[in-house]
Amino acid sequence: MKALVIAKGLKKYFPVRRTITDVMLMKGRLYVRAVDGVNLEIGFGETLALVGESGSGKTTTGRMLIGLEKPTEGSILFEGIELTKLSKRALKKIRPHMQMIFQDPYASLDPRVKVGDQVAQPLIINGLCNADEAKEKVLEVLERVGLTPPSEIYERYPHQLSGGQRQRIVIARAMIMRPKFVVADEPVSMIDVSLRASILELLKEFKREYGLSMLFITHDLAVAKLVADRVTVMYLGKIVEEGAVGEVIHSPLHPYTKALISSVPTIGNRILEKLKVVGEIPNPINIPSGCRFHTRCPFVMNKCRSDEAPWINVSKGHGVSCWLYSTK
Amino acid sequence: MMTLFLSTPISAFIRSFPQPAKSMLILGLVIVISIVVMAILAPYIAPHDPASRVYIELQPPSRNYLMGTNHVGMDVFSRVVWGSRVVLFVVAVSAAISMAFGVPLGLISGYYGGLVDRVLSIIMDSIYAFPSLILAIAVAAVLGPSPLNAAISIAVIYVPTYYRMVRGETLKVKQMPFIEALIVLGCSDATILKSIFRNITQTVLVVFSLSVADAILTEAALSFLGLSVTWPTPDWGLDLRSGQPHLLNGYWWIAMCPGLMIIALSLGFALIGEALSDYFSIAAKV
Amino acid sequence: MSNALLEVVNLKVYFYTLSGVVRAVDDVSLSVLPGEWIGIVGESGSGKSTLAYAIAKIVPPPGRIVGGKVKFMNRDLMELNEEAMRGIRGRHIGFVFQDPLTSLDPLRTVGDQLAEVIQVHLGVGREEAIREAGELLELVNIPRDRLNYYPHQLSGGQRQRIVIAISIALRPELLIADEPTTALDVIVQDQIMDLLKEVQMKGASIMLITHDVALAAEMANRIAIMYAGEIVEYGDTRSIINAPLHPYTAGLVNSVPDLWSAKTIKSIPGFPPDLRNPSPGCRFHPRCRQALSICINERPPMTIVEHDRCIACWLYLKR
Repeated sequence: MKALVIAKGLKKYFPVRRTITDVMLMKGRLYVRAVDGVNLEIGFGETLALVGESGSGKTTTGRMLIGLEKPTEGSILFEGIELTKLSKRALKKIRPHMQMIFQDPYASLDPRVKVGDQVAQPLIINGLCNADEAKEKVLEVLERVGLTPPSEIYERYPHQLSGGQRQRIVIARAMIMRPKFVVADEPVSMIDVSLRASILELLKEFKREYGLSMLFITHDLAVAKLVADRVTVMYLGKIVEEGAVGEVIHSPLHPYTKALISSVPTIGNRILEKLKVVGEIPNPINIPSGCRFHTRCPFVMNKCRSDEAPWINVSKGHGVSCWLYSTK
Repeated sequence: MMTLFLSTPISAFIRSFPQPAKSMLILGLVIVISIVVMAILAPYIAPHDPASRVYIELQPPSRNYLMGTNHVGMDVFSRVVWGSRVVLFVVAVSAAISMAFGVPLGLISGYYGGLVDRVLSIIMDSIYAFPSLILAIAVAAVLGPSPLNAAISIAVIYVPTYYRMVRGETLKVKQMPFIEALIVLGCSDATILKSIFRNITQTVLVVFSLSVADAILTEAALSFLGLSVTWPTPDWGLDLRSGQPHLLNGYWWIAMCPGLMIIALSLGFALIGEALSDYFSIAAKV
Repeated sequence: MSNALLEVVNLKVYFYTLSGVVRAVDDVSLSVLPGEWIGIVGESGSGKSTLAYAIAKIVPPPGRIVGGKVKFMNRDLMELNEEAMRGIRGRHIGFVFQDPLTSLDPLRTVGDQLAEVIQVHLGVGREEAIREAGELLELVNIPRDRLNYYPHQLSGGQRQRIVIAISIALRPELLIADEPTTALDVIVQDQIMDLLKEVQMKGASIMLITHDVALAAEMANRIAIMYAGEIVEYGDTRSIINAPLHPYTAGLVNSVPDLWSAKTIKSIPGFPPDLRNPSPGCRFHPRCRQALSICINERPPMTIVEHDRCIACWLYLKR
C-alpha cells in the first residue's frame, strides 16, 4: 500500500430539477457535473491541498472522500478498503478513522448542546469509554487546543464562544478520535486574519503528532502553502495541475494555475508576473468542449477547443493537463 | 410570588422579547392563563349549576346572574365558566394527537426523503387540499357526536400543518454542518433525528400556538353544529347556537357571552403564536 | 488640509442595543484627498463598515452618529437634512457593497436599473438614459446586450460590475467600496480591482474597506488600520506595510500568509475587546506584548510621527 487514500475516476453529477415546461417539451435531464473524473492519492502523514475557485468541485470531492456524498462513478480506497461498495453499517465502523472540519464554525456546532458534550460525542457514540472517562479526555483535548480553563469551556454553549474558539472546539471534536484521515474544508476562511495562523499551527501540530493524512480544501493558495506538502489545482470538476507545493507556486505550468497564483494579492514583492485571464468559471451544467479552460485561456490553440488535454508528467511528481506541454 | 416569578428563566425569556412582540406575548398569556385557571376552578367560580334551570328565563345580566339567564332559565355565566372545560379539553387532545402524528412523520419525511417522503407528502397534501371545516364536519359526522370524536376530527385537519412545517425545517436543519458532523462521527439515525428535533422545537411551538388558535374556532363550529357535546352540557359553541334564535329579539347575552369567550381564547393563542414567531425569526437572523 | 475631498473629524457612532451601548466607531479622524485610493483595513467588528456608512449618513438603527464632523467637498454633512443628503449620495458619493445581489432589484433588468439612476439624477430622457447605460456597461467590460438581462442571469463578478456601473453612473467624486470582492474568487477580484483602478484614473477617490491587508497593500496609496472602533495607524501604504509601528499593525502584517515570502506567520494572541465597555486606555493593550502601565488607563492620542503618518500608541509618544 503506497497511500492511505486513493481515489480513481471520481465523478459526481447532480441532476438539475426540471420544470414542468422542460418535461412537457421532453427536454433531457441536465446534470451539474460538479466532479468529473478526479484521481488523487494522499500518502501516509501527508497533507494535500485541494485548491480551486468556487464551482471547481473541490468541496464535493472532499465530501465524497469522507462519505458524505456518494460518487456517481469511481472508486475510493481507504487503507485498501473500497468505500463506495461498503454497506452503511460497515461504513460506520470506518467513520471514526476519518473526520471532517467544516468551514463555518458557527454552523458546525449544535447550538443547543454544551460544547464539552459535543466534543465527547464521538467517544460515547462509538462506545469507546464511559461518561466519566470521556469527560476527562475532553478536558485534556480542550486544553490541548488552547481553550483554557477547560472545565469552564466545557460547560459553555457555542454562542458563548468566539469564531476562533468554536473552530478550536470543532478541531478538538475531530481529533479526539485520533483519526487517520481528516478533511478540512476551508477551516480558516471565516476566521479573523490575526487568528488564522494559530489555527493552522494547531492543525499542523496534530498532523505531526498523530501522523495523520489530511486533505486541506482551500481557495487561498497562500494558506495552502503554509500547511500542505503537495497541492492539487482543480478547475471545473477536473484536476489541471498537481505537484509539490513550492514547485507549483514558484513555477506553475497550467495557464489557469498561473492566473490563480498571480491574482493573489501580496504584501511583499511578487515574483510571478500577473497573468490576466478574462471571464469567470463557466457553469458546470454546460462544460466547454476540449480543455475546459480554453474559453478563458490566453494561450489557446485549435487543439484545445476540441480535444481534452492529456495528463503530462513534466517532472517527477509535477503533472499538468495542458496541450502546451504535449510533445506530440 | 411575583418576585419568585421574576427570577425564573421563563420570565427572563419573556423579558428578552423586543416590542411589540413582548406586549403581544404578555397579553396572550394573560388571556390564556386566566381561561385555563377559570376552567380548573370552575366548581368554585360558577355560582350556579350550569345545566339546570335556576331562575326565570331570558333575564338580562344582573348582580346574581352576571350574564343573565338563557331561554330555559340556566345561568349563562356559570355555563360560560364550565364551558371553557370542553373547549380546552377538545383543543388539548386534538393538538396532542396532531403533534403525535405530524411531528414524527415530518421528521422522517424530511430526513430520509425518497419514496417515504413522496408518499407521505401526497397523503398530507390531499388532506390539506380539503376545506378544513368541511373535512372536520365529515369526520365528526362519521364518528358520532362526542368531545373526543370532535378532538379526533380536529386533529385530522391539523396533522398536515405540523407535518409540513416540521418537514420543511428538517430539510433546512439536515443540511447544517453540525448535523453532517454527527454523520461523520458515526452517529445513529436516532441520535441525528433527536438532534434535529431539538433544533426545530421553536417551530413546533409556533405552529402549536397558531393552530390551536384556529382549532378553537373549528371546535366552536363543530359544537355549534351539534357534533361535539350534547345539550344541556355547557359549551361555548353549543350556547352560541342556542342563543342565536333569541339574538334578534334583543336577548343578546345568551349568544354574545360565549361568543366573546371563543374570540378571546383564540386571540390569546394567536397573540402568543405571533409573538413567538416574531421572536424566533429575529433570533434566527441574528 | 483644506484641499481634502473628505475630512472626518472625531467621528463617533454608537449602537444602542438591548445589551448595552456598542462603541462601533469611537473618535475616528481621517482625510481623503481628491483622486487618491485609501484602504480602510480591519478585522470583523473593527468598525470599518460602520465608518463607511456614517460618512454617507446611512448607519442602520440602532446605530447613531453621536459626535464628530464629516466634511465633504467643504460642506459639513452633519448639518445637512435627509433630502440634501440624498442629493449627495449617488451623485457625489457612490457605494459598492459586498453582496451585489442585495443592491440589485431581482425583478428588473440591469438596463432598467441603470437607466433609472441616470434619468432621475441627470434629468435626461429615457432613450438618452438607455444609450448612456449601454456605454456604462461597456465601460465595465460587459457587452451592451446584457442590458436586457436580469441580475440572476449574470455571474457574481458581472453583477458586481453592474453595481459598480450604477455607482459610477453619476461620476461621483468618492466611491466607497465595502468588501466588494469578499464573495468573489481571486481571479475575479483581480478583474474588479482593475476596474476600480480605472475609475480612480478618471479622477475619483476610492475608499476600499477590506479585511484583506494584502489587497489594500497592493491597491491603496494610503491605508488606515482600524482596531476595535479606532484608527490605530494611518499613512502611506508602503511605509506602513514595510515598517509597521503600532504593535497591532505589526501583528496584523505578520499574521498574513504571503505566497511569495518564506516568512512564518504568527497570530496575535487573545481576542478583540467587547465594545460595550472597552477599557479606558488603549483598546489593544490586553493583547499587546509591549504594553506599558500608561496603556491600561489612558487612551493614546493620534499623533503625527513623520510626514503624513499618524499613530495612536504610547510607545511612540514623548511624555
